[in-house]
Amino acid sequence: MLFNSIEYLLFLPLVFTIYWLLNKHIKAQNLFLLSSSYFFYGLWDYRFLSLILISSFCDFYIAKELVKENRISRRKLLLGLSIFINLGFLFYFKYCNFFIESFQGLSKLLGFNANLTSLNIILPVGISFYTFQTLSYTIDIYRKKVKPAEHWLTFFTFVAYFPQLVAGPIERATNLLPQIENRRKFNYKFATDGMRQILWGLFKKVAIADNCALLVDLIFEDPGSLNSGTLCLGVVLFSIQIYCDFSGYSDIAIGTSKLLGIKLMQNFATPYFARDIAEFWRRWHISLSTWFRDYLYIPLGGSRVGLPKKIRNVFAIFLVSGFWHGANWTFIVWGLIHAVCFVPQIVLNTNRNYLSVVAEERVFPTLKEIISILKTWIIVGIAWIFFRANSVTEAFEYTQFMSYKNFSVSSFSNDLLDLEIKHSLLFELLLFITLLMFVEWFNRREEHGLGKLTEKTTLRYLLYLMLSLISLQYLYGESTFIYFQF
Amino acid sequence: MEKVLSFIFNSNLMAKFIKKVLIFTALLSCVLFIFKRSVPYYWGNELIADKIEHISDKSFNTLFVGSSTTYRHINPKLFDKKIGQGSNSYNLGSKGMYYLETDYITDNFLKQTSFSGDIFHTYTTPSGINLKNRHAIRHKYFMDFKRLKKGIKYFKKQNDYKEVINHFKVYFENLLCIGELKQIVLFNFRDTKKDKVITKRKGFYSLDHELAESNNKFLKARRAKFKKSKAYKLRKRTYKNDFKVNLIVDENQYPSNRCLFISSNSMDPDFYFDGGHLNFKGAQKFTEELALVYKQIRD
Repeated sequence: MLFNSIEYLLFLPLVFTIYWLLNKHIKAQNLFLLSSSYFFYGLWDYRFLSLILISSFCDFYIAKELVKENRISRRKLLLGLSIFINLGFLFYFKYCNFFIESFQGLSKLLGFNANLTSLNIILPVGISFYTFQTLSYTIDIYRKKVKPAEHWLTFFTFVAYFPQLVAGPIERATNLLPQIENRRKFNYKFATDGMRQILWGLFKKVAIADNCALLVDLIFEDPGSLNSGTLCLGVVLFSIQIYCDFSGYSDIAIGTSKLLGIKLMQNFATPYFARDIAEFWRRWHISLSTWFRDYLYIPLGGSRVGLPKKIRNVFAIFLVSGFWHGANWTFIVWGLIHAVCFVPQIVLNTNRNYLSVVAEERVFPTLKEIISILKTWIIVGIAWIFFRANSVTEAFEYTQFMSYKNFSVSSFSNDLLDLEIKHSLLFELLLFITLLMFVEWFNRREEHGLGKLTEKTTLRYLLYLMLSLISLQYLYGESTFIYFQF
Repeated sequence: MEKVLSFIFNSNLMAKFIKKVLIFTALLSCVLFIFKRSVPYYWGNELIADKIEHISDKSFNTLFVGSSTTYRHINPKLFDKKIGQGSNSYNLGSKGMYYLETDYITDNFLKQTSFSGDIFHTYTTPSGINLKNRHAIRHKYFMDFKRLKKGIKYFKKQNDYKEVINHFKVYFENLLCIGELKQIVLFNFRDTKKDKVITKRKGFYSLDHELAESNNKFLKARRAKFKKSKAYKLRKRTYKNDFKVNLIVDENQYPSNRCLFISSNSMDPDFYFDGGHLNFKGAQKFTEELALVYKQIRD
């Protein structure tokens, strides 16, 4: 089931009502939450529920054994087993074909032809997300940072919790498990904030991301026939599309969870207002960045090692992050670009220059801040070309076309005509993106775009009404979220 | 209401929250209702809208409602000539008219006007809803509760539950004006200048005319494809000279109005523009035959 669908519009109020009616009985409430989560996932493809079940079952019992066991070698063995099972699934479903095809390519280069055929595998939605979530659980148990779930129902609900099951935020057991274990209390402020966050997420997804996608798909389809201005527009629009798509999903997920009285971690904090790459990564897909920080970067030594090792660690984290996004060289190059841009900050020790939000005490940024924000956006935008392109060659071609093709207003207009892009669509997008930037700028200290609004009820409700009407205008077609593929 | 909710959920705050959500939903529904009320029932099909607005102040006594097999096949001018005796007909057909849309237009037209003539209603076999077209208003604006029931009844009989769900989805989308708001606003400001299809040709537009006037590449390709097709050659071989038009009279559907369902038999392929549509020559022939049979029934 998708958040931006009619089904979800009916599903959510129904779940909300039954869930709170069962509030006196925590086990019944959790059982209902688990069934709803399986139903939510099963509507996409019920066969892959078995993967979630196996993963939950294994990690639940491995964690139980880990707690009982004191021998280090055996504890390591149990942890290894959990990692093997979880990453095994991930490897098979997500990376198997990539390795087969890469091996075939390599064998051709070396002069022999390995005759391996790709497997016909469907990628289960959200596998990278719930695999990392269960992995973090067993690793935390191994590190004795968290107590294991006492009841299977609690743990299974933790793994399959529907708001964040298919595209995160990747939750930690330390945050989510206690909330599922204990009785939830309805919090009025929390719930109204959740509703606002859902509305803002929906607006970002259906009004901005989906409309950007229409243009981005056209521009990226045949970049060779377009001028550089149109290609730059493609990059800018894709940057906005991916942000609105993914942060929109996260907002709906977190908002939904707030309605159920469960707080999920913040996943985005206005990343496009970041002044350098390091700040960008503290604000973009926070749940994944912190996951890699805690379970990869720090175990490798983090920043408490010598400079060569620090640089190695940065490359490791970005390459793995790229690979996590997809089994394609484009994602690896994307990670590499970020690593290359991040390393100078590590060398110069400027990676923690901007820990607070931009223009913290002011309404508007300074010129220097604006230039820094634009510089960061350009780097991130160039990296997005690799993220969006179908192959590395296509991405390089795109950047080449972007740099040497002519740019004039007339050729830009001609491109729009050739692509059959309506001016009204561009105008609408410009309007929505301006609204997005405006609202997010003034709420950059808040958890989401509608975190803090005017005290005047009428104005507030007018804004809600306007956002609802805009969202309803574009809530058709049920387009999937980009991050579902990961 | 707050007291009842408070009792059910055992929480005053929950009751307050639900009440607020319900009030907002009601407010949103009111706005959507106002939006929908600002346009007439036929707003989702611009051609039909133009046609209905054109005929509203005219005294037509025969109407043809249906999909492209009406729009492209029936020439009202020729029909009137053949019938004589004060016949004044109009082609209210439109390409791609889904069977529920035809039903919706006819039903509402009869309800909202004092029309007392004859309506020719093309019967097409119900087909499923293609959800890929959900962004198109034409695909859903007609899906009211009556059409929903009708569609569901048919597909339930066929045991096609996927279609039943699709009908529900489209019904809810239409109810919530999903994807419709911008078009509703634009409809209120549209250019109402009627073209010659609507005025001079009495709603009829043969595919030959459209091709000649618009030089439509898609139509050109369609015709060329048909001429090369096996179906064309097969029809050519099997064609017999007994050209027929079958009329099925069903007075149960609209008891107060005479409703005729038209179906065409196999004809000379030279009368065809493509696999499913007649060309101008075919349309003329079809109209003549239709007038003849209609006259026999009427007299």
